[in-house]
Amino acid sequence: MRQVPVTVLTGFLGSGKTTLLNRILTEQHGKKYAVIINEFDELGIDDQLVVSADEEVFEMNNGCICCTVRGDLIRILSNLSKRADRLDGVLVETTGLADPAPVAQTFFVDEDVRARHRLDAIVTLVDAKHVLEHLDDQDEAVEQIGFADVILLNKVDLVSPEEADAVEARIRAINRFAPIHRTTNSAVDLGVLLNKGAFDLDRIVRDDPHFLDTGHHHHDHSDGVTSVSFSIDRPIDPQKFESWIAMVLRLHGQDIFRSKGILNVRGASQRFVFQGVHMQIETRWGTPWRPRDARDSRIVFIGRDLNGDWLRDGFMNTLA
Amino acid sequence: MPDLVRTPWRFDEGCVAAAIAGGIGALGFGDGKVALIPFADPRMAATRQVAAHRGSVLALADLPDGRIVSGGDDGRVVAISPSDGTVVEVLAQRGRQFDTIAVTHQGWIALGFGKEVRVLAGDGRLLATLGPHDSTVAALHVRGRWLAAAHYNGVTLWDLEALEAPPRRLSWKGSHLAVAISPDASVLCTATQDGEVHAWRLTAEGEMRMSGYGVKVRDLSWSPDGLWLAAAGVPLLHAWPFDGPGPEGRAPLDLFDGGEVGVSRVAFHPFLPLLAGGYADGRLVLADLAAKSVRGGELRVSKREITCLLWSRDGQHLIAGAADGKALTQTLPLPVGLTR
Repeated sequence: MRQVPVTVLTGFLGSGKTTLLNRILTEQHGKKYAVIINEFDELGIDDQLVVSADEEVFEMNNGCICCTVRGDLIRILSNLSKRADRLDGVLVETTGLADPAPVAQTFFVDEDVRARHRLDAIVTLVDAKHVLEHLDDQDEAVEQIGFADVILLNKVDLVSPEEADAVEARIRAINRFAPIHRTTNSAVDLGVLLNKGAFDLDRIVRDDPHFLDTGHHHHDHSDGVTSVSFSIDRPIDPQKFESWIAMVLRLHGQDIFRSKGILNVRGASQRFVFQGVHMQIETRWGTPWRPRDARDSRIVFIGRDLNGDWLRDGFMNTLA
Repeated sequence: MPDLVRTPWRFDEGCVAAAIAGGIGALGFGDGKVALIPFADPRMAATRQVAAHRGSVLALADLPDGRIVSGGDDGRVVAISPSDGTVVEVLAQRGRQFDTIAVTHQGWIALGFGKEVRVLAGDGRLLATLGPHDSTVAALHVRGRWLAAAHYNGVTLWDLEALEAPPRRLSWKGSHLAVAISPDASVLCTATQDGEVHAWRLTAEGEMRMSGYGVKVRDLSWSPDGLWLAAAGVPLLHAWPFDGPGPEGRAPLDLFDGGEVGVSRVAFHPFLPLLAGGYADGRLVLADLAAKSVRGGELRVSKREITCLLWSRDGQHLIAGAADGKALTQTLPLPVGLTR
């Protein structure tokens, strides 16, 4: 079944989400997008497929305490998939203070959403002028940056280049892996936002062989949210790895926003890739290794109060 | 049993919803059209399509006056007169998807409207606004004087004879996707996102859980005598026993094993012990509960999911529609003395 890519737009009030949505809906790109928004009256565009949502989060009744999903999104996406005209994509706007986790987890948990849609990327808009205050005051701002696959550093016309550099450094300390695009009035080439396949690690590796290629160090920062990453150039044992990552997510999944990895598994000719949001994780076989590829295993965690040494030691213990 | 008359159909777009008003069957599609199929015409030559919505049809229901109400993802609810194909707008609200509609015995139209339920007269006049409920209303069901609205963490039961009275609240954590009240209004069941059927006794104390589905429960249907509840989701077409102590601790009656593919829709005949089951791969089976067997094996309506399955109120007609626009109508001549 053809899967419609879904892009999630997060960002604080005033970061430019509505301006960006208006751009996407009015630009002549020849594509048909549906937009799921919260404050319906903000978009004044007729003849566009705009659906209002109530951002209704519920907890799955399956014993997993952090498995919250957006039930309204399940319904709306299911209804959209009944349309005869094929959508090129769906954009989901979240409210300024929203936790991106329930939206992302919806794509792991609901069988119908999984069958007909794929989470393409979480795009976070950042107001270059005010983000530092938000990061000091609001956990949600830190989380939205931590979750992001793509970051738009918007309103850069309102700050000096030095200030923009400082903001970018602060963002980098939280999320080392999402590309940052500097924008004014949310003006950005839609190609950097839509249909990125940011949840398709295989595709990312194809486009950028050095993705997640970061060495053995990790950062600490006062926000408490950091990125840690490790790589090893020897094959790992798949059983050991699966038990280890299951244990890590069981114990610390609530604090781990995103996890991803590309693994060189002993005896396997293909890459083994995984992608997680809190305790939800998806694993699968990726593209085959080519003779000239450096067969290393790389994993990344973005989250709160991560114990880098403990994670590194555990990962090293999964060596074959 | 006399022979069945079956007619296969192939429409351009996927079937989303079905209704039967009098002798006319209606199928709603992903392009906003509704096909009207007169059962009385053996060649069904008078079949026609009307444009009801700009987007997809999401829900259909029949009114006592013979019209069909249609909710769409274009933010509109319309009423269609099958005799002449006239489409009249009943309600419009931009940005809303009208995906759940129930018609009451008074001929009122109950609509899920975000967290509220709007109750309209047949002409569209607003009679009552019920709620807000805990979340967007996921499903509505009418049985006699009761209107049940399913939402997060339970069901709210409104009395259609006293809409201003405080409703009864039935609580159970999680997302409830479908709701069905037994024919004698003694039990209310919901289908949950968490792979469980939850049941409340309405006339006595007590709740029941039928768990272990492992997938979303997709549809519910009560047998006409209220002794069986069919639930869709897993490959086994089955019904839970509601005689005596009820289903807890007892095995369901298994009627047909669909193999790898799950049941997507279930529909009990309105007065015979016959259960129609539609599968996610387009198969349709008709199970006889008295004989505990399937009649005539499995029928292939389509290769895609059966998305709508419905008996006419007089029990003579069955409509099954699939996600690729294939459909089947079936006329079941009833034994003498059984027609209503």
